[in-house]
Amino acid sequence: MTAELKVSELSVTYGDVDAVRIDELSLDAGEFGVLLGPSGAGKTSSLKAIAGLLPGAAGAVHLGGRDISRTAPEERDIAMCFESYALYPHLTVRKNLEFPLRAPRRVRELTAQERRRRVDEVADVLGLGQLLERRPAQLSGGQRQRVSLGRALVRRPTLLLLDEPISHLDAKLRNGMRAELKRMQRDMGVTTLFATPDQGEAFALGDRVFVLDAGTLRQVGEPTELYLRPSNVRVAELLGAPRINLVDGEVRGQRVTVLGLERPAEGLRDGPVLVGLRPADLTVGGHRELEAAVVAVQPLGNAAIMTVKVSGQTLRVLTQGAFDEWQVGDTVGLGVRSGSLLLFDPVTTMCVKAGI
Amino acid sequence: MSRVELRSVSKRYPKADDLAVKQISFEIPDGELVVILGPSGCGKTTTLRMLAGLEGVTSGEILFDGKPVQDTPPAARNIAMAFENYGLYEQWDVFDNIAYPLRLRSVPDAQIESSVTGIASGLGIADYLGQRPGALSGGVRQRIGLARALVRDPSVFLLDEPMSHVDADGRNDMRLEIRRIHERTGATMVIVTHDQEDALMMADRILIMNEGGIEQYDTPRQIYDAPATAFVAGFVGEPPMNILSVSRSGDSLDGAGFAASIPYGLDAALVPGRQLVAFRPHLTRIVSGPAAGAAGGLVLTGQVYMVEPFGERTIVTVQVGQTRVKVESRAQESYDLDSVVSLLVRTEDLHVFADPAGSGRGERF
Repeated sequence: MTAELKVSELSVTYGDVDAVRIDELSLDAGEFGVLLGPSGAGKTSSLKAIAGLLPGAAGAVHLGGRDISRTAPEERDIAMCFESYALYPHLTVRKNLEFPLRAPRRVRELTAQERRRRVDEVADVLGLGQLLERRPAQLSGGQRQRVSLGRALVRRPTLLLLDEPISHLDAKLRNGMRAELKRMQRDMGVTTLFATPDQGEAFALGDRVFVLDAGTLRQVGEPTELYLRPSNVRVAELLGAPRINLVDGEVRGQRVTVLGLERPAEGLRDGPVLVGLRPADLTVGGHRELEAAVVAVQPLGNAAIMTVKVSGQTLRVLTQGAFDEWQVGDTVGLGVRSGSLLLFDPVTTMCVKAGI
Repeated sequence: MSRVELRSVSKRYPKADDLAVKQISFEIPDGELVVILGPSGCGKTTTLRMLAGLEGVTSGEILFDGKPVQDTPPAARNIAMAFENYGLYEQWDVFDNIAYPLRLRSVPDAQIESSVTGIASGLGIADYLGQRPGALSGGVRQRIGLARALVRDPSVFLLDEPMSHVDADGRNDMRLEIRRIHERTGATMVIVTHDQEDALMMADRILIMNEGGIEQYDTPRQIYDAPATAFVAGFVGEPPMNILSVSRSGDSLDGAGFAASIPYGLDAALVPGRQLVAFRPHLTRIVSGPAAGAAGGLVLTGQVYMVEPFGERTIVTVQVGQTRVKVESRAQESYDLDSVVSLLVRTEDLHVFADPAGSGRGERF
């Protein structure tokens, strides 16, 4: 069972504060959507409203063409997995995973053997096969998180809502689980909306990313599209690691000048402009366009984050090769990859030109 | 200034069967920044707490500048500490919390003022100085605890997971600031973390612990380029090294559900029987279609399991038999799921580890 999701005119208010105001949020059947935003952006409220768990929310939710706006949460065929695990401490992992399949409606649909097979399948995908007879207290935080995720998946719901399900895991486990989670979603074909503050997860998982900031959607698109053509400064800052560099520039006579560098900027009016330079688009040691003083080098193994000063401005550079010869205090030549500049209106913060 | 040395130090907690720390010995030269890195339960925090004097040693010696200190109480060791649970005084404002260690030492007010505001602005918490900690986020509270440790001028700084509650953006600024303070004060620093990026980015030297013992103690570059054990190979790097468990029979390497020929030049390094072959994702070349003809290095064939397109790079996960191999490139690439690809790794980029357990160390993820 897979179905498209269409949410329109969704609003959540707490007292007289608008927490969420989303005009439209749509996912195709089987699509993996990511709701990306910093904490406090309204991600959890949005998910809860879609699940029908917020009585004060207004708006329409259609799932598979069916209007479920007034359907009780348990009748919506939506599974939700929160950041906190909420496992039954007295039950084994197997019993916890099986629990949703023993709900009165399900028991009639599935034989004991089918239930067992479903649990085994999900346990296998999530790497829980060896842990099925343990109780939650005997598991690490990461393992509990996986059981909680498994419990949402085992029902094969029409829509899966995941609220930062892997944020608790340490970086290693989290990064390792991303590909598995996406593949699992793809194989099961379940339409999914996943909320996270982590831009890496948005990139890795999202077929479509919804950038939520202060309760409203700033931009919607494929992650690479958002990275290359952010509609405003906020989106540019939220996607990409290390964070994009923002430097003051000046447009004059259809050309933009920034840090002494000049590029054509046809169609733009004269005046100040905010220029976005991605750390990965600054190159060291090749074509020399800017003179930079090295302030710090932070090796990552196969790359390094170099902090430099150019004309008094601090810039982050993502280098290739980590343990190269650069030292703090060195002067290096920086190149700026062509087609990589992003220009923003300093007042409206909207992107006025990309890819120059 | 202090040189710190551990000689055959062990720790057993009451009622525990196993040693939490097993006879470890290492030396930190005066003024170095050492990061102790390892998964949870590896003994890294216990080691730090023994250095601080918060835990006694079961056996062995701890020396500061050659003098045994294992029986010296924490207050007499001239150390400054910041721990993961912040231990802030809730009834005081942030300024007074940070100033506390200086007041204890009767530092003049004018100097306290400048030290506290200096450290607070360096750690990005200058705006909170007049507030009580209670209402502040975990990340800010953690920085206050760190500022309180860093405001002093001790011989040794001991920091336990100093950035675990700070978000990704703030984290990098804090790493820079800690490194800057280290360079300015010249003090010996020991930092415990489970995050390999913290270690690579800040350390002069990294001590990698696992199950109470030391896996490797070396510079970040050596740890990354020449991991001493398969555990280190699988722990450091993002993604970490790919590790294949293989068994040599004649001219063939057999793994779980795949086989490869012996890479040219690796004949002598590969012994008959089971062992581990490891390689970095970014040093793996990926080509569409099955491998054609012979190549110098390791050649594998598999199916695309998942593609993760990041802005700056792409990570492709490839199913090779029953193992998943990650490939990283700095380009934006796309492959169809389940399409056949071949992977090539140059011989000089391969690492071989003995596999006494037969199953390899470490977990599936």
